[in-house]
Amino acid sequence: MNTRELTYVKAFNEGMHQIMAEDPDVFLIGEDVAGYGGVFHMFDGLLTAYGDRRVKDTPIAEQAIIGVGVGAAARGLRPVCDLMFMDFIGVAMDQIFNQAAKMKYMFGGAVSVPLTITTAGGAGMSAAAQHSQSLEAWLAHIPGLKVAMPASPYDAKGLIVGAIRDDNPVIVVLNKKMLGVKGPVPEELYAIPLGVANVVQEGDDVTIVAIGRMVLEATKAAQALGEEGISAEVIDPRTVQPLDIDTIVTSAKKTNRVLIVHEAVQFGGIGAEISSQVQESAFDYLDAPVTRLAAPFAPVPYAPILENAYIPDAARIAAAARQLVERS
Amino acid sequence: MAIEVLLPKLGLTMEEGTVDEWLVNDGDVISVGTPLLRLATDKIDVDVEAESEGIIARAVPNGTTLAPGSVLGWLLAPGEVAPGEVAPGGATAPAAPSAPGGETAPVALSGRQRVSPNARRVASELGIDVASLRGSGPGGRVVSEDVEESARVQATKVTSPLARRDAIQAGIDVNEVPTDTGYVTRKDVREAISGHGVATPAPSSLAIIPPGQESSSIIPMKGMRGTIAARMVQSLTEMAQLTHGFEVCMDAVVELRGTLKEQYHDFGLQVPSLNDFVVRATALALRKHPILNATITGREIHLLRRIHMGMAVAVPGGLMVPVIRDADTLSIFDLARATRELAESCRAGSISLDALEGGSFAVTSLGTYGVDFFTPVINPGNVGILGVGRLRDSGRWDEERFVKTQVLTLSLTFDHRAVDGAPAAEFLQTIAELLARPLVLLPGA
Repeated sequence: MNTRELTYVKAFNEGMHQIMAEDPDVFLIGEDVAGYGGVFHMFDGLLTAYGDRRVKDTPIAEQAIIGVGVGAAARGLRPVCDLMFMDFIGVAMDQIFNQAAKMKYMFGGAVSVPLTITTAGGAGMSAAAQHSQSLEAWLAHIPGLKVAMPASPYDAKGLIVGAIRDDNPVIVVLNKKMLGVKGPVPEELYAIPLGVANVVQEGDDVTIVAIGRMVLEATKAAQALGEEGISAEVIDPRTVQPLDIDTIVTSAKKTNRVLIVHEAVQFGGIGAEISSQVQESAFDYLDAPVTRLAAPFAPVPYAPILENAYIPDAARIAAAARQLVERS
Repeated sequence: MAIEVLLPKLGLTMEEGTVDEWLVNDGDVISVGTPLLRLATDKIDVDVEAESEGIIARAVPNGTTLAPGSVLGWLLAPGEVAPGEVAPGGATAPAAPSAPGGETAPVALSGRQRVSPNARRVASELGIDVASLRGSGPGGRVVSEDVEESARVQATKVTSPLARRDAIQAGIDVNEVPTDTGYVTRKDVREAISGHGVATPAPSSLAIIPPGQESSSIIPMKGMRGTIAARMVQSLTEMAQLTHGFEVCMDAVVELRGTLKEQYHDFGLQVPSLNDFVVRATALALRKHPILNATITGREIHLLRRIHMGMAVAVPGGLMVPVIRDADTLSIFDLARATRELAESCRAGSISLDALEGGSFAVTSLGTYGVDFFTPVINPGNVGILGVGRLRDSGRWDEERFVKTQVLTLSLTFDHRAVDGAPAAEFLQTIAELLARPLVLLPGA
């Protein structure tokens, strides 16, 4: 398997190219996805390679973009609908949670909706409160939707392919601040199955479950902790719906201490769900309360200093982990 | 947040303790390690040290008897009020502590023991009563490590958390830190660390004097005594040791020494001792038998390139093993001088730590005490040690003639994990051959 270093956005882009080459039913629509290649250049070169029948720019009409996708998917195609910023998803929400998510159920399984929605979430770019949100908990709450959050170039490619091949609606949430992050990516086409967590780093003393970009920060924190003699296990669920709780619980039983990190607000976040499931399944294995580290219950600030304070980082993750394992 | 001062559990069988006397007054500013009170149990009296800093608020008066884990007082931040706010001024009215179900007010107010679910699970698996444990987790919660540690030490040795932390930082097992009281304090840990970083496993963790006996004096197993105890127990528990006794003829050495004495006398030159000859022969023999100049690490035996000879030196109250580096390269005269100087600085107490480390083999002599054969104990890290016995008269048959000879017994203890019986014997033979040709032993390199 030939592997080389690619950026997160290039890896995603390569996955798009390869899946479109493999499957003629895959097409892409969205704002500025064709001529411009997407605002983050996720879709560079697709128009040239696959033509304007399969790569289409749309008006600024999110509900229509998803509506087209739902209809096409129900009729057997595999549309990729791009929503640019995750914050715009509200405009298309009815199509997503009342149509895409419900069709298979309401038609008794006669229709499936192999729709993929791509979008970019996350803060840290001083993009302010309407362009920085992490809304995965919203989506993961809807039965019928799957939510993938790639946290490495390898996963950006593998998860977009896995999402497109999946027969259900999947929202792939890329992280804006990770676009330039590099990592090893195999050349050939591969898919990461949805619902299988990635144990990024094994450890014995504390489990850090991190979502999206927080995986990077958690890995840095784990390194710092390791230098202090604290062995942290870092788990990236990869998809928050379906959630690979087994891997997390297994880890919790091993380390007896769990810290969950995400950059969405803490209240009602994925961390709350994971925390609850861990205590349900591993209560007798816990040496400390399951702890969450997430954004405060406030919109994402615009000022960089405030924004930095808002998002968890490696230092705060390490500090929270230290508190969990602290013994006097 | 108020930090509880708890009645420590000093032994497995301890069920209660009495506050003999508070050593501090309400409102005193306490730093870590300050003795707070004298605690009496049926076996021993100990000073309970502060494990944190703060302003002391006493919860119980002198003479109160309570179970281990009970709250005796709090360490408060400036301006903070004691939890439960006991009547101020120390005029507390604790309920009769021995009355079960009695209102042991301060304890009831803040005394719910915090135990993690995992600690409870592990405790039930290991059959340990969590109520007897001191919690080391955040907020004093008992965590599974507390249970596991308690299980590891059959006789629970109670430590102050800070002592435990210091011990962990220094890489020593807090359970092996010697203590006079059964309660390991930071001071004990410091002393264990200064004793060359080796802790002493107390021969009996439950140091109880037999009934009907009393101590005429007490020798703390600390410092050098602690080091010796730890090293010897470590040696005898970790290695597969056995000893060969081997008689060597010393006639040639005795004769050569006689000649040297005679010829050196007028020049004031020092004649190497009998022991120096044996050490020199041993150093050369180790070159030929590198398996005895080795160390075992994990699952590997490492043959060591350089021969650093440890020399056991008796000093008042114990024994030291200074090391002569590259002993095989030294002439017997340099070896003799180095030996003499090291022994002197050991006895003078001026020996440096460096000179006590790094030995790859050792020689110990009890010959001057009249001992022939004995079983030396290998210094941890080595695989052998040679004991030198008394020079004594013997005889052998030379054809039909019985001739007088002088012999001594070498006692070679070796680690059977690395060295088998036959190679060990061959090593002794090599030494014997060298001692039969002592002129070979004179030059260095």
